[in-house]
Amino acid sequence: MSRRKRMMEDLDQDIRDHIERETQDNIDRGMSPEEARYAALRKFGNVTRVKEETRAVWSFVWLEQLGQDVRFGLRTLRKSPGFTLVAVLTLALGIGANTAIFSMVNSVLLRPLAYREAQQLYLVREIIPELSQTYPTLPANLPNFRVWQRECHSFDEVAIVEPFNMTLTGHGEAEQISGGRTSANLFDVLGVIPELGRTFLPQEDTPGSDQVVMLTDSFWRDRFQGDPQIVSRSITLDGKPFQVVGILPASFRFPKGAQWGAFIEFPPRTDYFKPLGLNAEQLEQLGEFEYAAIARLKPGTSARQALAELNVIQGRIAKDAKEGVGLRAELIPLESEVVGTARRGLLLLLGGVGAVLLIVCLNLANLLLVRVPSRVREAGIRTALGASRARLARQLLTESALLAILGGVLGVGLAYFGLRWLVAVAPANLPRIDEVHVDARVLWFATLISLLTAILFGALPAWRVAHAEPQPALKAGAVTITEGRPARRLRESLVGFEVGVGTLLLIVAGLLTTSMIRLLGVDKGFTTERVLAVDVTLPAQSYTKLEQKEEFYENVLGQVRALPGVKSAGWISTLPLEGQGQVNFINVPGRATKDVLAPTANYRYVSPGYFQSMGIQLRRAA
Amino acid sequence: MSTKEQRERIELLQGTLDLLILRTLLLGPAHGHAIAKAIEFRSDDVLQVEQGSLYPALHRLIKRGWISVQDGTSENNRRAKFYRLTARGRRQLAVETTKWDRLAGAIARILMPAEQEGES
Repeated sequence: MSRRKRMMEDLDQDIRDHIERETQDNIDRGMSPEEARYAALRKFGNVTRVKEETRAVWSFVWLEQLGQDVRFGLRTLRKSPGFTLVAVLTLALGIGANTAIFSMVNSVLLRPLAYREAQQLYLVREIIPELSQTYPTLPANLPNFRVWQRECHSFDEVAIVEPFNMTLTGHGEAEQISGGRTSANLFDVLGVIPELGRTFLPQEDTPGSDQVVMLTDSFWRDRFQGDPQIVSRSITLDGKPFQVVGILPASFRFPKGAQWGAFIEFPPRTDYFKPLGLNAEQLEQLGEFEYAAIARLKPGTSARQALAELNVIQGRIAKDAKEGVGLRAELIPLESEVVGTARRGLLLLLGGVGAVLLIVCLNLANLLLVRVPSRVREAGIRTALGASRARLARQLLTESALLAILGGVLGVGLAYFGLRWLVAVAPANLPRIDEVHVDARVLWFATLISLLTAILFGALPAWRVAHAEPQPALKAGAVTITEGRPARRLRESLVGFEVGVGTLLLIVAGLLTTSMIRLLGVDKGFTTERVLAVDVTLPAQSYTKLEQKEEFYENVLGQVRALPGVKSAGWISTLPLEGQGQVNFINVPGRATKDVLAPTANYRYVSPGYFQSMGIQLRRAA
Repeated sequence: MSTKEQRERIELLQGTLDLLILRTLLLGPAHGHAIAKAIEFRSDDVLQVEQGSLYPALHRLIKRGWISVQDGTSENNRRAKFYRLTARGRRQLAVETTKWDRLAGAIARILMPAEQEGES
């Protein structure tokens, strides 16, 4: 620092000496002293710029200038508070919307699933070609899974899991908890390491030793206050003691709903996992197609190779089964299956808020361009004092950056609160919505788009000021000068572009709204107004006999009907639009169809009063 | 200054000024004005240096350690800053000169191809 200061003092002296010598030379050549000095100065060039360039050799001059620019920019912005307020607020809205939507894209699409090498994980679905008209793909079948486990060498490992609910008692109020029943190797396949305790052991797959559970972090914290002592203790599920062997990490998420493909419905909340615990007999009989199968491919094996091998195995299984139907399989990358159709919607949304930000930029560019004439005057004075064009442009861009940063900070704040609202109103089936939050990547994104925005709306005005002819502006003196025709045309085309983008946005929004209104207007065949629904599950160990259950249901229905304000009430096994319910074969007496090819139907069991309560009209009565 | 004269003067290439300064200082320490004069004089006034641009270049060379600066007295007994080539600057001059020769040679070969091109 001191060396630099000394060098700069020496430089002043040096330059003075230099010009004096040159002046003396000129006088010696016969010029008048005044002429000589003028010629010397002309020959030397711009003294201020020489000093600045020399200082630049010794220092981070840009840092000093940045400081100057920021101070000057803040002063300028304070002088026109109205403009500043409008600019910062519109920027905050634009940047905030983008940050919020990007947070969702980041959590849902960009952040990998919290599984080890998730790109190696594939969902295995089965295909029965004869049924593919009705069921393009089916969940996995248990005996087939056992064959894959033995014979498919493309798989590092394969696991299956099915939704499974149990009733927890002995810890306060009885509660139905939801989760999965899985082959013991599920967590090895996913590559999830428990936070506490261990995962399942291979022998825990067999009946008798299957009374162990793993709890998810959130369930453990909610229900057991995060007590680490719970591991290796017992809890009562469906009236039997189960040993808690491990707690899953907080980052663990399990895809829910239809994210495992059609015909498997995992509950929205995952509380626990238990081993399958099926005996040999249960394992060998032809089971239902009801399991989610997850395979981890061996490193270096492509999905295509694995599928080819799997299809050979499937062909052999079908041949041995002698059912007269074919069997194939499909491998779906787990990540794409989990995200599924949400990708298109989210990207559309991101495009939408991007267009909004573009409009904000165009608008601000226009506002700044209006101010160009007054800035040209100021720029003229600064040029006369030795400022270079680059320096002028930098000053103006700094001002834009200041606006963008203020807008960005406010925008991130908006995004933070906006996200809470978005997550609250977002459709519950949006995958991984519970994982959405503002993280480092989101903050980087916000910073980046703020600066990009600054360049986008600031570049054109800055360029115009820096390249304007300062002389007319200076000559005009105190008289305000108006913008020329080319400048006006430029602004008009900006407005045109802005209106264009705005119209596009309106059209897209309009189309989406129309679809939404149509969807709302679809006649579902039932009414949901003034209808309440309650989920009831009876603990299996206390209601073993059919009569007991019947009595319970009758009882409840009678009491509910007696409540004041209740017009009608009824039971149904599965609510409408809530998945498949039971799917059974329809056997027409006297017609021999092979079992698998028999027509199937979706059954729901209802009590009297159900149709009345749901406002379902009869089409034709016998 | 006639327009003809101006047309014949050449703007310096970026970086060449450093080379010229080093070469000038090979003859002995000199102050800024003397360096500018020497470059103009020795190029028969073809190379026109905007004298001010000499100073950022000088400071760049000091920072790199190729020249040093010290106080001294000029011909008419006035105190002045004298710039002097350092040992590293001397080595650098050799490197830069070779580079320049190769560049000039290459450009000359492109601009003045051998006779065979005229015959084809």
